[in-house]
Amino acid sequence: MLNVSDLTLMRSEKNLLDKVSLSIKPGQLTIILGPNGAGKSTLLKCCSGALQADAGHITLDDTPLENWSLAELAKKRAVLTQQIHLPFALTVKEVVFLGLAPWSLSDFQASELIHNTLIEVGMPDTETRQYASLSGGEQQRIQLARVLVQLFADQQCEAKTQGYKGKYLLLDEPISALDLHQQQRILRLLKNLAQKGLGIFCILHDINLATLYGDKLVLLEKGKVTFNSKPQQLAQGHIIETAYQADLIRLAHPDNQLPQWQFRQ
Amino acid sequence: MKRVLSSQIPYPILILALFIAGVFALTQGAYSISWREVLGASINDIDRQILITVRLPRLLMAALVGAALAVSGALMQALFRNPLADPGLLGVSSGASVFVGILIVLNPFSGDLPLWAHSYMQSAAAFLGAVLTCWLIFQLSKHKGQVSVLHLLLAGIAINALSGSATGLLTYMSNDEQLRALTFWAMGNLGGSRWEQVAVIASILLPLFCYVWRQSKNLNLLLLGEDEARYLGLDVERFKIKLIAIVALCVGVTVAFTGLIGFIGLMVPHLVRMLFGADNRIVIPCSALLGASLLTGADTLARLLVIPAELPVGLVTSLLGGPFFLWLLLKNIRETS
Repeated sequence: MLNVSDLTLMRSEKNLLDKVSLSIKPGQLTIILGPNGAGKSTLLKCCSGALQADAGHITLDDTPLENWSLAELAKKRAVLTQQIHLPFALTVKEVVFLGLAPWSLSDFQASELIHNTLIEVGMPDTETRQYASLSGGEQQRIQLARVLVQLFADQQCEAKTQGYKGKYLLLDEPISALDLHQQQRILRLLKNLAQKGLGIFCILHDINLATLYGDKLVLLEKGKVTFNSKPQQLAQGHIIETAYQADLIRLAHPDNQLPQWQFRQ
Repeated sequence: MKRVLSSQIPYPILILALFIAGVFALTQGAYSISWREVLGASINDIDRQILITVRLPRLLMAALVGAALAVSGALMQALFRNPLADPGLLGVSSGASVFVGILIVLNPFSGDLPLWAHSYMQSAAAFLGAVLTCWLIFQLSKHKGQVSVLHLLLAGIAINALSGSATGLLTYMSNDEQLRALTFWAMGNLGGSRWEQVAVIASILLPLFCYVWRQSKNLNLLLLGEDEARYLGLDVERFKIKLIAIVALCVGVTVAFTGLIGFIGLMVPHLVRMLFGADNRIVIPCSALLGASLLTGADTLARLLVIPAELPVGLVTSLLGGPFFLWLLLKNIRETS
């Protein structure tokens, strides 16, 4: 479990994070929501070990995050940040291969894993294409493939029965540049991985997709957690409407009665 | 940018290029020696003398220095995540040269040091200057945790200008003999390479090349960005410091022995990437090979163009590299707009 308790981060006398507590459980897709500037990406950076908080602590499987070595951490969790610009001309395969840095796979194993993962993210047989020549949405899925191989690499060399228990994926808006079809593909993929035991921390902007796919939702407002529960709970009260200060109509999804929101014109 | 050749075949081509450049360098010059003599067994005494005492050490020096400049260019480009980074453009070489200038002109140690100690002393001074400028550039160009290109080039311009004035001041203070040494040294010259110098430079550079080659996987991680590299298990801060030290050492020793030779560090890695792709596991060794061939070729040209005199090789590389840099800059601007 990735456990965050009372995390506070100050920058120029402003609380970017204010006593944030939450936990990312194995087997759950936890979705972080919140208006722009609420501190979602900052929280992700803290959880991934890139930022040190001023107060509070984070533990990963009961060990404080700062006690993990970078190499151990790289085998335990993968992080996808927003918009990765590559200044040099690498092929798709070379980019995805970078995800295997913490491991030592044979060329054959690596090629097979990369090939299969590219199929999963909907970019089959693109290994030899230039990364820079791809569209934003395609690049985003290549980067997702890179973090996925980082997590899956040991499945390739050891027995494949372990599932994804004890591994974590931290994603910062992984579907922001994708079309509808690809959004659905990736969210279903994430849901599926979570069911196999992966713990996923995922920042999303679309509240409707978040309630539809998330096992747990965390709403962040001005650095504070204002909601931390199952999506069904959002059907009561006006938490989303007040948090986003938008004029919305709440509906129930025809398939499963989960709350969904539409703009008033 | 599409790669022209498959990444499977670079080594035979590059080794052949280096071999041809080597034979060319050994045979051509004010006094020409036939390639049959160089390769075969029948060689007369005068020719052997010329080959062994003059041309062979010079060839090895050119190859080592060319490789070092190209590799340090590739390292800086990975470090700054920018294909326009180069030790010369960013002022590392000129920073190193100021320190060597100080050593030549002020000569704080008495002149009765043995030759090899003097060689190492110049290397040490150049290394110190290179480390200092590398660190300075890094601090100046860092903006919100990212190294910005604009700041980078501006820092380079400022450091080049500062070093220029410092060197000017040293020139003003120097006597005739020192002035001559300083001027020729600043233009870059491989003439007068001796076996002792080759031994010193090889003993420093060859282990460095091996180390850098082994680190090429980590260099690739830096291409993703510093945060991403850290997420993949690389201790980025330590790695950056190591890289800066290696660049400073490479630039330091080459500047100490051969003066300022520009643009190899910019041109060679770029050509390699164009030909074989941007994977550093290929860029690093290929840059070393191509850099060695290119500087060997340029030095041979420098010896041939104005027989019986010879041009400083730094002039030849700048002549080739200046237009190349302009073309690269224009291409970059066109691609980003």
